[in-house]
Amino acid sequence: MKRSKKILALLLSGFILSCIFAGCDSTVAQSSGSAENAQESMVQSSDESHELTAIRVMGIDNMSSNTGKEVYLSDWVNGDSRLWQKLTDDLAGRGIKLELELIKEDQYEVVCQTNLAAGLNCDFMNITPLDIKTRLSMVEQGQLVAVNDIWENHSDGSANEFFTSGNGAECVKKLSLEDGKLYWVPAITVGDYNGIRTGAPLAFHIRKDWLDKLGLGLPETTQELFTALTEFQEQDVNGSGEKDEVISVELKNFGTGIAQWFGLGASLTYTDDESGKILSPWYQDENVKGYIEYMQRLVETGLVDTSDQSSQKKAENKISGLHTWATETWEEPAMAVAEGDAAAYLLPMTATAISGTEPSVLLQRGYQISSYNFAFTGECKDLDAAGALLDYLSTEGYALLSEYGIEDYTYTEDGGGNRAKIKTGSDEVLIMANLPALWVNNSILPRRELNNRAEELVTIAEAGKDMGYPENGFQEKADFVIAVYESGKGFSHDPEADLAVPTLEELEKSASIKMDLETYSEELLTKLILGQKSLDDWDSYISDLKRLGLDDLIEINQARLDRTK
Amino acid sequence: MNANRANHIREGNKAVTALIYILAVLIGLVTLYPMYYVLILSLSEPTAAATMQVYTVPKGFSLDSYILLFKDSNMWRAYLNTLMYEVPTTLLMLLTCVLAAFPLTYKRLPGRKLVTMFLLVPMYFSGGMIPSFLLITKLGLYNSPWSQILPVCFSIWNIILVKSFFSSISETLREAAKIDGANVYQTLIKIYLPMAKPILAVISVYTIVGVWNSWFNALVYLPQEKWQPLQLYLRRILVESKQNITAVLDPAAAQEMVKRQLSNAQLKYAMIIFTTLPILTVYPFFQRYFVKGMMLGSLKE
Repeated sequence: MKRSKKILALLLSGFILSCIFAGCDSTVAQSSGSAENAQESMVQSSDESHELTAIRVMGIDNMSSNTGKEVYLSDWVNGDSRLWQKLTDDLAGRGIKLELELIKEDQYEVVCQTNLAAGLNCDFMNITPLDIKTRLSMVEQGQLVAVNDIWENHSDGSANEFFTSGNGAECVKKLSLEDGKLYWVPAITVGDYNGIRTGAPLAFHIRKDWLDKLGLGLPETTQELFTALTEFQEQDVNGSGEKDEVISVELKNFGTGIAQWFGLGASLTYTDDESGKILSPWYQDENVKGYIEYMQRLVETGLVDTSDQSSQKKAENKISGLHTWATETWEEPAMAVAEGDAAAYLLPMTATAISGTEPSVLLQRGYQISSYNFAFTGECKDLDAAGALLDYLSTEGYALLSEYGIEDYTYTEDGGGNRAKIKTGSDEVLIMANLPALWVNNSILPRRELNNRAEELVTIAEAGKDMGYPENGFQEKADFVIAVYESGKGFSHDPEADLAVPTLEELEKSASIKMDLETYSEELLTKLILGQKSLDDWDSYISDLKRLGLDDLIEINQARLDRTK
Repeated sequence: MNANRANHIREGNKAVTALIYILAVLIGLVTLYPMYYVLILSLSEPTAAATMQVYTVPKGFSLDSYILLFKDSNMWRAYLNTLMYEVPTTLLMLLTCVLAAFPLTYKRLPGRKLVTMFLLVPMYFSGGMIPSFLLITKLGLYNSPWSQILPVCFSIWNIILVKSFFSSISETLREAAKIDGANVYQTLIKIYLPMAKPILAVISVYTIVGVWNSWFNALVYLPQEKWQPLQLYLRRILVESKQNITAVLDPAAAQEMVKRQLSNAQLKYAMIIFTTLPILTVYPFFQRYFVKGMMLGSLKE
């Protein structure tokens, strides 16, 4: 018996080892192939690059699974990516080259923190995971270089123009510290719809396919929405035999789409564009109470998913409505419909909630400063090279390469300057068909996005034609978005991005109050909606919010907003 | 009489035995069911796995996620890395434990008490993560596979275990060996080591399991994927599946995240089974050493 156990153990060990070496053979073959390619390109570039100054860059090894398999930025760098080759050629033309340290996304924050403790070893890095306090501390210790110094003294003019009078000027206003200098460079998106500067909206969506199935019109008021959602359950529109059709929205904050119909912003504090003031939904008595009462009604009737398992419910075709980007077309495939049926059709909508209050949506700013930030570190000694990189990042050529790629390879351009992405081809062509280049978006270089919203709408409408709506596609989705663009009205999707960088004092003060305040706000809202707390004690809740520092937070954010003007 | 009245439950009481069996079965089910649940999810049809409509037996049968896993060369690389760390770490652990413990068994060793205390202090108090990181970096081990082997190839607790075991071996054996002309090394190799097989097996088993399950050191010290172990790879897949889509500020990035989460939905279950399979397979052979290890720290009469 002992002997047979030993034999079995040996066989199992042998099997596992043989599987590993079988896998490793292909790994070795692939990596040696790519190493050979890399070596060849290094030999070529070394002949030409003996004058090139290396800039050490640390960032995230961005990945896309758009093509059905995982493609990393490192695959582009080590392989035969034409896009990467173009980028390196452009940089070589400016006398610089990039030496990359690419880290996987889940590990990047830890690597940043440990590198900060042990000493930075790069010239340019993605500082997105570092909070403001850490960045301010780095500035104090001289670990970050002022970008102003680079564009003022080491630029050929491109970066100077970009940051003083171009698209970078607004981020200088918002992100400059007390000394008036900018220390990190954000990704910038400028969205344009036929001359209107606008970003993408987020809204509450309802299942239009279910409305059509039951012969119901699009709800125009919250009461009509309630009726429609009830009908979905009563008539068992998903055919499950149970009243399981529910909406999926966050209960703990005001970013639900529905709250915006009641005239409420998404966060604990938000910017009111008309008055230029910082407001809090909690102080908008009539509106917030109306919202809570409405949500309570939905919950009591069993129309809201309170299980926090929205992914599962989507797959089970139980979601009758949800809050998401109005420009999305990726939620529909996640909802499993009956075989032969057209895909789910999520239509964004607004509904009148309070008479006299115009229902609104959440809207990205036309000029967006992303939370993805990049900085030159104190290790960067060659500021002329830094200036060359900054100049390149400020050019339209870089923006075009990152957003569209290479003409006649990843996109085509007609005589009128309209660009269309190519949808078939190699992996990188397929990636570029839907996404920007892998080196932007929280990777190694900041994005300079010039988003043609009109082109985006065509794509959205067309997407529906492949999902069972051959006549009009998702045109009604596109129409909703056009209406939002043309009105230009909406609450900011990211209120924090409207504000200037806090001073150290503001940071310390808000840090001391924010955690408890946000936790209390989230718990209070959730419990009120679920009926675990009563609206009768409203005054005590407001007193608690004041005691926890809501007024102080509003004051701090108002000062930050005023500095951006 | 009073003592008899106080103890109503006699040994072998059928009712109590039945109750204990029922409790044991329930605890066993509660412990085993999550693992079984992951197994049946990994073998079910992808749609059944995504909707989690699987409770007792797999719904449909699909090995797609395992096939996807088997084709992933990064996963095999991580597997090989883990095995690469297992062997030297275990051997070095045994070496350090034996070489540190054996001299401490000599009662007349000068400074023995001092050395023992020197070993005990860091067992209770450590410098923390930042000093450890600085030490590893200054030693040039950052981004090196040796950062997974050297810092964990010794354990003061294991040294104490081995020392206790060696101390339980009769002194007369040592004296007899000395009389026969054996030097210190020969005494260790030919007398003590053959008798220390049980304790060495215990330490080996605990080290192997510890290294197999470890991921945090790799997260901190290995930024490059090519040296990362299997558990870190598993963690990566699990972390990606939990990200909140609406928290992403860019629609294109949100779309990418949804695609990744959908494709990883069943993959993570297959990955969990695959990473625990070796330990599950070898555990029956080493169970007695696990049990023995737990008892080793207890008092002896």
